[in-house]
Order: sequence, then C-alpha cells, then structure tokens
Amino acid sequence: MAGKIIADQIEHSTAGSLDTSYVVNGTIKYWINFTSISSTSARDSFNHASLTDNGTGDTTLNFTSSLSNNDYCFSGNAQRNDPTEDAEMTLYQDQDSSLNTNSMRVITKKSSVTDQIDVLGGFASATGDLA
Amino acid sequence: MNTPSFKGTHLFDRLCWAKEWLEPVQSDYRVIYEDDVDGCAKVLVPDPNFCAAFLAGGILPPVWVYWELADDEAKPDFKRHTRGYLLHETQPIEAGTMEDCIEYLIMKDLPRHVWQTWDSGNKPKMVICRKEQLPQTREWRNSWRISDELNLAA
Repeated sequence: MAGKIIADQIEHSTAGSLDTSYVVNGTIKYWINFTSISSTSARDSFNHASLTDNGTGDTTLNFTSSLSNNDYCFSGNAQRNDPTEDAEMTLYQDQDSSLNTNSMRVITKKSSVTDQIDVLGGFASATGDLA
Repeated sequence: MNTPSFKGTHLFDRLCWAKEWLEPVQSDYRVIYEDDVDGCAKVLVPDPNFCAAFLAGGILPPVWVYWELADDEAKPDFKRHTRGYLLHETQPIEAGTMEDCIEYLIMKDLPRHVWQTWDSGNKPKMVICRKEQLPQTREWRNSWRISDELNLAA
C-alpha cells in the first residue's frame, strides 16, 4: 500500500513516546450504529458485513475481519425510542455463546422491564486481537 | 476509484482504505431464513460499506476462507485462530454484482445447514426478497414466518 510507514515507536516532541503496538492492540476493531425501528439496518459501521434481525430486540452483528478469539471486549448501549419516556435502555449479551470470532449477538431492552424492544439506536463495538 | 493492488495486505487495512475511499451502497435485497422450527423468521441485512467493498473488488477474501475459520472455531479445543493469515494473504476476490454480493453474504453469514438445504423439506428455509416486500410494521415481528404457500417457480 502507498504511504506505508513501518515503526515500532512514535515520539511526541514534549509528551513522550509510545510503542506502535499500543495503537495496534488498543484500537477498536469493530463498531456499528444501527436502528431496529421500522426495519433493522446499519446507519454507519466499520468492519461490519451484515446484521441479522433475529426478532424484536435481538440482533446478530457479523464482522468482515474476524477477531482472533471469542474473549474480546464487547461494549454497547442503546437509545430510547421516545425522548420523553423515562426509561434507561440497555444493549447487552445474553449468554457466553453470543460472542463468536465472526459475529456477536446483542439484545436491547428497557432496564426496568424484561421484554426485549426495538430501539432507535443500537451502538456496539469490539476491542481485541484480530485473527 | 480503482482499488489498489492489495495482495498480502492485512484485511483490516483493506477495510480502512475502503471506508475512506468508497461511497456506501445500500442494497434493496434482504435474505429471510428460518433455522429453528420454533422460532420466527430471521432477516439478513447487508451492510452498505461491505456492499461497496464487494462491488469495487480486490478487497474481500474468497468466502471459503470464512468457512475454514468457522471449521477451526467449531473444534472443541479451539482457543484462538492460528490461520488468520488466510484472510490477509489469500488473493482478494474480483468485483461482482449486488446479486453476487448477496450470495456471498448468504454463504458467509447464514448457518451452512440453511443455505445448503434451503429448498429441501416441506417449504423453503430461505428466501431473497426486496425490503419493501417485508411487513411494513414490526408489531408482529416475532410471528414472521416464511409462507408455506411460497411459489418457488414464480
């Protein structure tokens, strides 16, 4: 690729230096902003191939560049559908098997109730090692 | 924008290039499938950035690479991928059509038992449709099923 720089360390003029391995290991490897209102689809994303609408509040996110193992760090949250509604939204994973190297399955619901719901915005990311 | 020669370039780097230089392409296609007799139908939605990369060509690995990694992950002693190089070092696929892209995603992201036997049994396990053919509201989303009376010849 044009413009490639190979370096093990980068140094700021005053703030010190940093191993480039920090950048490689610490960068988010996957992210998505999606909605499941009316129809489930991605608004924007990176390293995302497709999503599977499994049902109300239940979505599988499929990666393009797989993670190395299923011990990566997932994080996510969700946006409520009605801004006047007094409810906290959660986006979480239901069970260990939800994390695979090529996908993760996430659930959205209000914190205060058990039923899963579709959300205006679902936000998820993964940090870890790439395969 | 012509895709640079990416042979041997890490897939993540190829995706970074695609994100920077390619306009996302929305697909009207959706893939409906059932992999659980007691569950509702599922809907696969292609990603616009992925579609752009597929249509451009020279970025994505052949789909068999994902099958190899899935086979590795299915082994009981799996800890971490040791053949990730397949993603990065296999010659990327050439440009294809949106229909080719949907076929690729079916074989990449649907369970293999669904797409390999989609037309065996009492009714199809999988259907490709346009998004406007889906129900217009999600009120009964958990009751969506592929129709028993679907005419495959149509």
